Amino acid sequence: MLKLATATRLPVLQKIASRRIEEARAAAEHRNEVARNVSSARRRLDELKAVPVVWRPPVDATKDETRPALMTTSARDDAVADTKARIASLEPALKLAEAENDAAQAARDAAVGLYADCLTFCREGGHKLPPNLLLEGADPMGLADISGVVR
Amino acid sequence: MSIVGKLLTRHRAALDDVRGSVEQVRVDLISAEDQLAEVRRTPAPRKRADEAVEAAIADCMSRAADAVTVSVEGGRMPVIDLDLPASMVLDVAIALNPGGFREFMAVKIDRLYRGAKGLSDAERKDKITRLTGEIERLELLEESLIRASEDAGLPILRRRDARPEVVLADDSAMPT
Repeated sequence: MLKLATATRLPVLQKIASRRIEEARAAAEHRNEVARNVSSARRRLDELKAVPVVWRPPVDATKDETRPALMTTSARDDAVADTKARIASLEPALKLAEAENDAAQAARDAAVGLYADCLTFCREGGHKLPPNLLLEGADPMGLADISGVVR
Repeated sequence: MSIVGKLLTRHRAALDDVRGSVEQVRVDLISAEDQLAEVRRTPAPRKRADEAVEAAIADCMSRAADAVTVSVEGGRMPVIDLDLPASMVLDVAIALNPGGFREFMAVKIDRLYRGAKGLSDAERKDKITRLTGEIERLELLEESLIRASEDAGLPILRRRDARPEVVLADDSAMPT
């Protein structure tokens, strides 16, 4: 039978789980930001491709028609090349951010799950629990239903 | 290389070292758990299986003897009652041909054992005790490495399926 130190070990595990929740949240935010940048660059590329390079007069000058801004062919080609280069540089960053996010979410799930298991073990074993055992943070795994420790 | 660069390189090397040690302990742990599962799966000694077949044959013969009755009423011809319930048909068949049933079961048992000798109750108990102790030793070693690493500012993730008893153990329970 192992000698336990629940009063000192549980707060340590709680702190680790809290840190993992924060890291997972930060990783998700970073991934979303990079994804937004990639989407924005792709939208810009689509817009550039749609810009007419030859000037055409309005079909009916008496009507208030919205006409896209005009660009010279070379200006548009330059802008397209710049935007493509930006997308090419962002895509590896997005892949990296996605991998980091997956790892952070897995680390959070493991730390929160283990902490919940430890609380259940202590409750079932009748061990004295220290106060303030709640974890502040999102509960994407539905652990609140299992352990009542996450809010 | 700057001083900060050198420190970072040392930090990374130290983290790699301790991660490597924890990974090795985890590999050993998986191996010990596999061995334990194998011990639990291993059947009783082959002799016990043969004895179980003989016991089954004896049971069938006993039940079959009671199932088939011959009676004589008023000096007339003996009445043989073969109106067996379905559950007794196999008993009677085995009682009539125990040798055939023995061979039939031998093939099945050979396939189950595949040359293995099986484990006696005492051998199984000894192996389970030894492997359970080894698993606990490895779990404590893993936890002690993780705690030492955390104390040094090099956090390592615990396994999701780590045992709460080990994770909550007092420092005095850790191997020195």
